[in-house]
Amino acid sequence: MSIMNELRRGAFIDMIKTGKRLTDRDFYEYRDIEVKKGVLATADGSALARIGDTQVLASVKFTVGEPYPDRPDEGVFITNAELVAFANPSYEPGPPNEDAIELARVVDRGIRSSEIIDLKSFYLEEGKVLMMFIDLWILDDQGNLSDTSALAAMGALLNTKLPKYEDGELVREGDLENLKLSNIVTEHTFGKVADKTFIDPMLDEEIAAEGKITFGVMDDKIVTVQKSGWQSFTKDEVFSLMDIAFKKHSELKSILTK
Amino acid sequence: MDTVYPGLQLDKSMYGQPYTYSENGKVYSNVFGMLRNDKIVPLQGQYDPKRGDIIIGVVNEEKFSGYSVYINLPSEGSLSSRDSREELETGDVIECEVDYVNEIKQVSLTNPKKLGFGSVMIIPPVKVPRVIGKQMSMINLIKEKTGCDIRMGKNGILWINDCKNKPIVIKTINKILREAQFSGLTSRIGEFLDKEIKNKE
Amino acid sequence: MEKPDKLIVNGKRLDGRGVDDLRPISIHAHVLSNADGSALIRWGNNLVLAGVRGPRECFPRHMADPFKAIIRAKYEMTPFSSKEEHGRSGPNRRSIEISKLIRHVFENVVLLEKYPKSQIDIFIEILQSDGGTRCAAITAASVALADAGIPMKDMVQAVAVGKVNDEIVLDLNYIEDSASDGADVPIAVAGRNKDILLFQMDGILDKSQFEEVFSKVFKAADKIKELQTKALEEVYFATEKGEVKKRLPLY
Repeated sequence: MSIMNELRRGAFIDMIKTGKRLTDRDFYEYRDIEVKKGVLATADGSALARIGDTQVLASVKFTVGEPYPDRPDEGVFITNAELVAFANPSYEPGPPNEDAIELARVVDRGIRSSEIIDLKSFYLEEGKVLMMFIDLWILDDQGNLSDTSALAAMGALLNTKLPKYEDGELVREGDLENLKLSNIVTEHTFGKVADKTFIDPMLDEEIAAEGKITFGVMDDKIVTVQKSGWQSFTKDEVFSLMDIAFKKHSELKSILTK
Repeated sequence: MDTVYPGLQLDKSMYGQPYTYSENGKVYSNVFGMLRNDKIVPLQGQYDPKRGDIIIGVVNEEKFSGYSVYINLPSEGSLSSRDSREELETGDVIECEVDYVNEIKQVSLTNPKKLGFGSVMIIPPVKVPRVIGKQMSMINLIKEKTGCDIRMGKNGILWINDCKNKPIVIKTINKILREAQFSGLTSRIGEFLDKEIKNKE
Repeated sequence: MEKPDKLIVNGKRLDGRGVDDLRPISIHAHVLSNADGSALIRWGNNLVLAGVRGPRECFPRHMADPFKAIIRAKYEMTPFSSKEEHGRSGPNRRSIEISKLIRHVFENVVLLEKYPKSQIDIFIEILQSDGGTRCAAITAASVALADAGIPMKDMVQAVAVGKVNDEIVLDLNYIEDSASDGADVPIAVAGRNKDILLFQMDGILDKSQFEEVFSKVFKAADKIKELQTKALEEVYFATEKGEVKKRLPLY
């Protein structure tokens, strides 16, 4: 099967040299995007995000936990990603691999560095805080898991309801308050091959990409960057891609707040 | 047209047909699909190799006294060097014939013809008849209008040569796969091709 | 949370069902683009996603059977699936046992000899759980296998029967299942002959009660089979119209 991957890579490189992508897309155009919020009844917040055929389910769930010793009045959150085995023919079941771990950490950094959640609001009482789990369940991988996961996570946070804290337990009955977010963060990933860059790589484009760069954006600020793959980017490329990321941020933000 | 599903009992006349099995003298379907003109058309499924099938393969590895060829099945087909008149390399696309399928579904190939530079697509084997069309009407229509050379292997692998209208062929094949309604498909595809070729110019 | 002690009052259960009623079930097939076959089942408050890969080359090679395909089944509960607190990721003893039993179910009905030296993967994610997830998993996996075009002798339906307040009751939800004096009997059957492919029990029943158990299961299995066929028909007809969108129907 590796020969087929080689052929696909070759086919894409041929096309990109003639200024075309694998489907009729512009170089800086996203595939069709959809975000559905509140899809899981058992979670405190949830969303299913889709970019093209890539589908990622995000869940937000709270539990009572202990704060970090150096920040006793702040809550805690943990982001975890699981690449489910049927999401891509090359996945094998087992402990999280380096791709899943990198993915979770990049989405996490977008939310954490932007400080859109006031962790002090998670304080419950002495030695007890809300611990928030963001689970990213990758169900269908057709390329660009980063941006899809970031959308799913943001969508889930946007419909998260805070449980009430009564007698040392979390209660989820009655009217619950929404989790307060001071802003919205989106992520934008570009691939690079044969000196050409393109946004939102689909699977065959991702396989061929020599380098990738992801920007986390909030309004006109960059809140996180991740470059991966062996290929380098020039400073000029970085600045022009940043500009495109800012533009795309408004598009994706309006999809999230629809 | 009737739905069939695994375990549904069929008429005894279906005995021995593909996608059926028999038990105690009765015949049952083993897939989900439709019964059309006394043949089961499955919803999906892997290619079932038969002697004499003309298929397309991609040479994967040179092995001792031959080659292993990717043919869109769980295991690769084998081609002996005695059977090939020309020397082949990893990555070569070949049109070949299924020579023999043994009891454990290993396929040996013969009569390889190296196809030149071009592109390869994998389509679901159950859709191959639609791409070919009745008496090859569909595939010939595409070849005529685009001027491209196209070979559709029974195993679901399709090869298109490096012609200038290759992107239009790829678009057309994808359209056929999405739009699989029987009636009028060939004429709709004819119109689609005319429009695409005109747009290009 | 207090456990109610009268779970059946005047023939009606807490959620309004009669003792022979299934919870509402909806099945969608072909909901993922990468998996060879897939099915999403909503069964009461259970939400279960099954994905199938294969037949494909067996890895590791030394595990391959020269005469038939091997099945690998993995049942996994997501950490967000329960109404209770966030769980832990990864297999535990319960999910390992269930995975093994699911494999045995499909080793019976899949025509393994057609794909020697291959493997067929069945992966099941429990996205929401409310009692009876292994039965929903088996029911969904059967549809996912048919969606992938993998030849089988039969479709498989599974449902759990239990004893609640001394009555034999069909399709227990989580509350009913946790009731202390009950019994929980999950059963999977092959649709045609009603051959029993999965059979477990937790609790105390005497032999005569099993007649009622099987009678309720067999009747329910027929209803479930209709839903399975309907899910596949929808995909078939959508494919004909060119409208198949491999999307998860979550809302």
